[in-house]
Amino acid sequence: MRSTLLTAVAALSLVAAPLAQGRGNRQQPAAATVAPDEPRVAAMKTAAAADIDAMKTFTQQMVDSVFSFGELGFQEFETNRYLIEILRKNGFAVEEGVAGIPTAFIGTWGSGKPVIALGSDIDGIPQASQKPGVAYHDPIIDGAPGHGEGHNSGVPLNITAALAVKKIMERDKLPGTLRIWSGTAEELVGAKAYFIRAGLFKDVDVALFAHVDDTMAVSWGDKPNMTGLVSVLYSFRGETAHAAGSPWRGRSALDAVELMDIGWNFRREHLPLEQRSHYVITDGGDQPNVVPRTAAVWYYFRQTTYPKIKELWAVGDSIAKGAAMMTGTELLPTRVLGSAWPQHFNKAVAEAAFANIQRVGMPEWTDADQTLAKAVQKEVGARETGLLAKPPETPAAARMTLATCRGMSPRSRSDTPPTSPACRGTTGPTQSRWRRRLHTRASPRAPRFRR
Amino acid sequence: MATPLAHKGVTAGAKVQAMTMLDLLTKPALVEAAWNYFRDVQTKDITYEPLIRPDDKPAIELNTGTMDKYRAEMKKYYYDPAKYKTYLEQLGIEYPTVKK
Repeated sequence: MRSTLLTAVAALSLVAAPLAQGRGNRQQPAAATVAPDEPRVAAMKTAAAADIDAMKTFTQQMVDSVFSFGELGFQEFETNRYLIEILRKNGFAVEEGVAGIPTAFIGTWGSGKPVIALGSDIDGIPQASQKPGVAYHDPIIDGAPGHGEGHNSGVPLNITAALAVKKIMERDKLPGTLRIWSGTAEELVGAKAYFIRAGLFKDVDVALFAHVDDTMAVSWGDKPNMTGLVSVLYSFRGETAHAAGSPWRGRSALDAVELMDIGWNFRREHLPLEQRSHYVITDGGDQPNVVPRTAAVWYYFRQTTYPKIKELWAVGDSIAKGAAMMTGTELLPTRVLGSAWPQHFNKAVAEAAFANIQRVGMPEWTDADQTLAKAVQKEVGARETGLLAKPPETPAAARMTLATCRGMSPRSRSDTPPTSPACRGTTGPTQSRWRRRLHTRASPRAPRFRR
Repeated sequence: MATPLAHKGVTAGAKVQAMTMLDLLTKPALVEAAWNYFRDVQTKDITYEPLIRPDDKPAIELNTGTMDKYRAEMKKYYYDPAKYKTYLEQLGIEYPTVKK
């Protein structure tokens, strides 16, 4: 699976004031309007950067450790044990098993306002086991899961950042509360809605979210082409029977699953163009001579707004009921396995982060780094341009670069691989992510979706 | 993602994240601007309603089978920083390896 080739750099920063995300007015791309720092703040930033440089080995060990655990969503036990121990050792009060999820945690340090929540995903991807530093498909363990999307990098990044800031807060007696939380089961969009329901972010002022990428960029505003989704399991129950001896006594739950899928695929022509939907059959029976008593199919319904997601889901429900009627089977209560609202991040925070990106700049890449990046680009059929030496110079440019390089013009939907000049220097790892999505999302037409 | 690309990228990203936290801790106007954007733009026309229903529970049973199948084998490859400087070193990978 060449799709799992490691991508590149880590960095990131998006983000929103409280996590509820909605759609508002589209923001015009504009240059950052962040005032220069006062000397006091500038000195703090210089001190934090020096401290983070001094923590390089610590950071590298966290990144490599979590990579080696490679655990799938809701099963991040080793990852949790490791990260929570580090947080506790550094004075954070950590609550485990939050929101009814055994592998979800939130660690808190400090007191008072503002409350800043630092999030990043922690789960791996099925069949994504891959030797790091190797530019072609070469699994550590064939068929095993692994960190094909770099979710080993974000929480280590947040921990390093928080420890540097904590030191300055202690020194200068700055009020404020830091929270580090786990993006558990992100690949299943399985946890965040439960975090909200449990009230984990009720008193949070700003959430900073980090995700791996091939350059440093921020994101804010409405994203007209970005979908949210609901993930739903449809289970049917029929009657079993010997499929040769007395098939007339049976009612096949698998028939219901197949007819639901056929129904959905006919209906697809008459759905809004922006929808994306796909399914896998998770239970198709035991063996051919036994009429399946149970069967189940798992759908993702993707749309660009909350009401449209609900409409799409209602169509799915009606088709499932129809399939049950046609086959004389029963549709069992459906299960929601995950959900995600369309993204809409905060402009003020994004612009502040972007100014800091300009201050920090990209890492210095060695010849070996560029050789790997180019080899990966070649492997996935992208232009062999290597990694950028400098981050894009305006937030709008960064946004355009990322959007265009992902094959999605910000305003039009295009499924073509990136070809724009704006992509120079960034196509490789982006392309590999694009490929990965082709392989892992069961929807070759939706490379731009983050989940 | 356990290569110098990742290590350097995470260090650079951590600096950005730390500096942005310092902005938020020292500039109340920035936090206020974030809240204003939240109220006036992000949630102006829409109220968050969960897609999960009141009776839905986290699907924590997912992936148990796959992890049961592979975990014992994966454990043999957990990174041991006490013995190896990097995970690349532990796996004996020449960096970068670009040809089969």
